[in-house]
Amino acid sequence: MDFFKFFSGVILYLIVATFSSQVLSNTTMPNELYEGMVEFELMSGNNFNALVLMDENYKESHPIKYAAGLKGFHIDGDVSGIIEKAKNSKKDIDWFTIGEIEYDNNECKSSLRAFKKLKNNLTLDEKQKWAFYRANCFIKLGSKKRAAQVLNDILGGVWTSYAYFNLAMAYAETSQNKSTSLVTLRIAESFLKKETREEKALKDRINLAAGSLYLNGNKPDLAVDFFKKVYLDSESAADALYLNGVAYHELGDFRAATQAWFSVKKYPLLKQSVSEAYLAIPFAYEGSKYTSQALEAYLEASSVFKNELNKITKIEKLLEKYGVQKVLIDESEIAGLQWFLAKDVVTNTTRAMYYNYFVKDETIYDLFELHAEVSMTKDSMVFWKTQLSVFEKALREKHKTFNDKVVVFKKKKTKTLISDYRNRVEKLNQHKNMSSSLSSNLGMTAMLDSIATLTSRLVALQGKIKKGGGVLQDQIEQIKGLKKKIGAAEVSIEALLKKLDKELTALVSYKLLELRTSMMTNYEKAEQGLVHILETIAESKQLQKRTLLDGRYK
Amino acid sequence: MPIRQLLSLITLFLISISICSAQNLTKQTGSATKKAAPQFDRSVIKEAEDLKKKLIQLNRELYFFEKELLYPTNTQLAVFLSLAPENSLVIDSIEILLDKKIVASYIYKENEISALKKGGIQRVFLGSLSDGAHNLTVKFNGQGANNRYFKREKKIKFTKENDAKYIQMMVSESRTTLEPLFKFKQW
Repeated sequence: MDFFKFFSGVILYLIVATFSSQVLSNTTMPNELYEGMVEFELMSGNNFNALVLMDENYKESHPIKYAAGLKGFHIDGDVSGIIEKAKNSKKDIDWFTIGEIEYDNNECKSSLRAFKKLKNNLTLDEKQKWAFYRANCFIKLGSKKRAAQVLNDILGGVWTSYAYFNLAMAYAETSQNKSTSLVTLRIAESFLKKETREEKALKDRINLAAGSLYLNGNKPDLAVDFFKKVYLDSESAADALYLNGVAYHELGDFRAATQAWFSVKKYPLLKQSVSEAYLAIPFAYEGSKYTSQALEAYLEASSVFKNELNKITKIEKLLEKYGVQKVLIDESEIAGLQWFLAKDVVTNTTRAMYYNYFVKDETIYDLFELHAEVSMTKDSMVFWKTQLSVFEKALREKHKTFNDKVVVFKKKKTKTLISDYRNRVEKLNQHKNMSSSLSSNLGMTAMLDSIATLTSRLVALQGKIKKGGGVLQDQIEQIKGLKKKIGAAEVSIEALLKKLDKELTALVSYKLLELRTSMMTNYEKAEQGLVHILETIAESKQLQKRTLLDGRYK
Repeated sequence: MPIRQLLSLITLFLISISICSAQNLTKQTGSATKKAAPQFDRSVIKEAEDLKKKLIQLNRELYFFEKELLYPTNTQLAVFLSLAPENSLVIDSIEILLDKKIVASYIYKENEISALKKGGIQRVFLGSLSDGAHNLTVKFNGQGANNRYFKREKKIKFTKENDAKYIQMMVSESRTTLEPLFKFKQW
């Protein structure tokens, strides 16, 4: 067995040292596994990984999946061409994916045409999405009736619920009679059975919409029931609480209204409803003749808006000096930025609040997404650079010691040993006492097979030894070439990130300017309210003085 | 909404009153709304798309170079996982042991389970292995029918020859007992 250890050791060393010259490509893997792997990445949303794995054959045979990968990684330029080419081919076409891509491209007519080609062999999940896309397309094209018809097959699930919600919003926008919209919202809510985060968020939006519709329809008592159902940790909470206060105010319940508005104050001021709540509180106090509380509330509102204006000024200066990437994206250690990262009254940082505010703008959102994608590729380059350095070091080491190690391996001696071993096994096999059961117990067949394997390996090994040094040198050269390519890619990435930073800074600064204007208006409203209250107090004091001068109460 | 209307009326009434501090701040801000929105340079998008394509190609080159270097075909072992469609199984995590040593583990996200159920195949392990007999053990943790948790351990003995070895684990659900079923396929 010593011989075996020695031989397998030599083989393993040489395998690792010389590395197989055979290039690993997807073709060595069974096609079923390879395609499954690509699809796993694609369907998990890892479009970049999927695109990296796709070879030319795959792209040719699965053009729609290739297009979906490109679309997912926001390389839209070639997508339409690939889809059109696929449509003209006589291959089996994935019409569902085409429908989805066209929908994302805002090509509703093409999307509907693609979905129309689908037969009834969809899974339940696909059917729900199918109904959602088609209903939304009909809404966008202005046919709510067709959208409602699409949703007639009660499919259930969150996708259907979204579709009904969108339909309800379309009804609310175009019709004076809100009852159709409210009924549609009720249907949307009935499909939400689970308590996932997504379903809870949609439920909150449905309740907020229903409450708003009732409030607009002069039914504040009914509106309150819906606003109360909105979860306090939801994205819709601040709006719901503010409108709840408005509903109470309309019902004449000033106390409940101010309570509702007070609870809105814990949410970020950047939300319109929070600013409104700050102004509504003193207004309600004034309405209830609580002049001193109104004065205090106006003072508080004024100070809060002024603070926010100061914050905006600081952020503007930071943006001007450092740009969006350093201020909003990177882990920055810029002096003077600590306050921007510090915890606020809400469980979030000021930076996160502002970030959320900016990404509500579609163009800014898309650019942030693009920035994240480019940064991800930058990280991948850093990763590969490190990997290549490690490989290069190891290969150089192997290359240096390769010839010494080959000398240790004596071909003739190994050949003799194998031959000797074969003779001994054959002799043993032909022994007079060797029965079939004993042969099986001793594993004679396996031993003979392994000798045959050893012989063939020895032949292969000789070839590898001959090429070994050259292969190592080739691989070192390959690394050098790849490193060069990485260097060039890094330069391009940096240049693009700079351009993106410039574009984003301009857009974000403008958004900040808009916010400043709105905050300024709020501040002015608070200040004017304050003056109004002071005037009222002054007038009442004057009246009181005059009354006292009359001497009626003396 | 009456309160909004009232607030606007009061604002209009009070807007005529001049306030020093507000004026100062207005001066400071300038005319925000008058400034035109910046025009976004669309050529950046085209440039980004071209660069992304190049980077995908470069990543592909690097990926295969690494595979060739570290896991040559004659020593390569890859372990895959697939999940039968239309079943209630949700795999939370798996652990892979090769000759009693943990070589890989994975915790699944919802979208990955969904991808597996739609026919995706995940490569959970890729490594180099010497020729000969080996043991592969896979530990599964997950949820089955009626949200019942399960923990299973499946083993397979295999022989690695002088060629790449691919082992696929296929997980499905019994139609009668709704118990998870595990099968290995060697390629």
